[in-house]
Amino acid sequence: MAEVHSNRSQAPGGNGETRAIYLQGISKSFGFRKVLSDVSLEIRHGTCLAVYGHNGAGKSTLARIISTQWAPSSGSGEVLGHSIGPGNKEIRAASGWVGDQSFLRTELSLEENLLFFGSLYGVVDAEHSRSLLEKFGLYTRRRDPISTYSQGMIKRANLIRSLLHHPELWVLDEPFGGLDQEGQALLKGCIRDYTSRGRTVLLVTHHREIGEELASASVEIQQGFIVDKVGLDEGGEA
Amino acid sequence: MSGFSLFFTLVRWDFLREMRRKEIVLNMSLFAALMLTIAQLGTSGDSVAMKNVGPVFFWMAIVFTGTVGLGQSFAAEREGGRLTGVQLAPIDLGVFYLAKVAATWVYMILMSIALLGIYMLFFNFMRWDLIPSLLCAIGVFTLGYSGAGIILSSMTTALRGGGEIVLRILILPLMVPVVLLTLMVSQATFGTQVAGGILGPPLELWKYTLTVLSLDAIYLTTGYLVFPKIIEE
Repeated sequence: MAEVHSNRSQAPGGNGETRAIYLQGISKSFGFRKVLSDVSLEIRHGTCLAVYGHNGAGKSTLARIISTQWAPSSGSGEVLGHSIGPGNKEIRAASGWVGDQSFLRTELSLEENLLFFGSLYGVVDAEHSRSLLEKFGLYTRRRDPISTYSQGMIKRANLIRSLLHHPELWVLDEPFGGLDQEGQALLKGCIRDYTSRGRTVLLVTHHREIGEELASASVEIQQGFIVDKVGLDEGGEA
Repeated sequence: MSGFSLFFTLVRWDFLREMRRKEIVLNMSLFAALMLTIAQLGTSGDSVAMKNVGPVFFWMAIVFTGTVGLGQSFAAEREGGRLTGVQLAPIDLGVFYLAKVAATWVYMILMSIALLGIYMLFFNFMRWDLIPSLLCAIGVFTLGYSGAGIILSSMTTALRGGGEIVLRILILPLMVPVVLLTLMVSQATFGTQVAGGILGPPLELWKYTLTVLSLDAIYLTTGYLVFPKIIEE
């Protein structure tokens, strides 16, 4: 399903159209501190790739580079057929991000937030919004201000926001934190449903058991280097 | 979504946020009212001083309270990663900048109108014939102020602690040319020449408006081009 090449250069292989993420020698430094070193990665569409690592290992940095929040210091790559780097609107239009911050406007209701983000993405799909609200159990609270929500509800609202524009790539950075068991089961079901429809998920987590349950491939990052990979065709083409 | 409809959508959402939070306009107006109250107490009874120094206090109140509004307006965008949420949307971030300037401009004008009412009361300024000229000067002045201020506050609110102080340090020198021009046009706006005419002959309103609008255009164009580069990483 996926190929990962760590710390060595290799030309892109396989059919480019089937490739959701392709990274070649990506590094990221903040000042003199290198947080990601020479990461090469290739993921096909429909893959759920789990990224493991301790706090500060560099896994969230990798996710932020893939989602165009940060530019790599060196290296190149493509996400959904477009060159990575800040400002790439094509990648942004086709990817959804869930991280530690919800992006939601707390003085507005969830319904208003969804309208706001829908207008940013040019999406007006009331039926889709309603189905997401019902799926994540927030339909009855949709008109309440976000400031009245609990942490778990904000997490659910954040997941709804990230799925509003039908993204091809769903980047989840520690998405299970703050969710109760029901919420976790719901999210797991969403991830499975998502990949079964040929869409790609990048799941950043330090809960290895959750990753093993959901992901078809995984990598482990330590001190910025990919040190382990599971469920991947090493070196060769898939 | 076209640039125009995105612009109006963003402005509309900013107004809705301000209507719910009620912090920017109210905060600025209270701060400005406090300044004018102290100024009125300092000049009380001296009608000549009130007439000659009053306009200086008026513009000083707008400049200082403006930094409060600018800081709050952009700090609100940093809460909960809201700005990152906008950044990750496939939109022209330059349009987001212009929308933010437009919303802040409206807040500053509302504050200035409230301030003008207080000024008329405290400084016995009853020149209704000069109100249109004064509103014109307020409009062009606050437009450039918002344009330059949003760019600076987008940079300074990212600083950990002391962001508002840095904003004030940066914006005041940038606005000095416009402030001087605004004081020079006092004859047309307040019917008096401030500082005993040491700033030079009175400036005509149309010349002032054209000059400040040109500066506004420079600030806004620079902001539109530079803002996305500031926000990206």
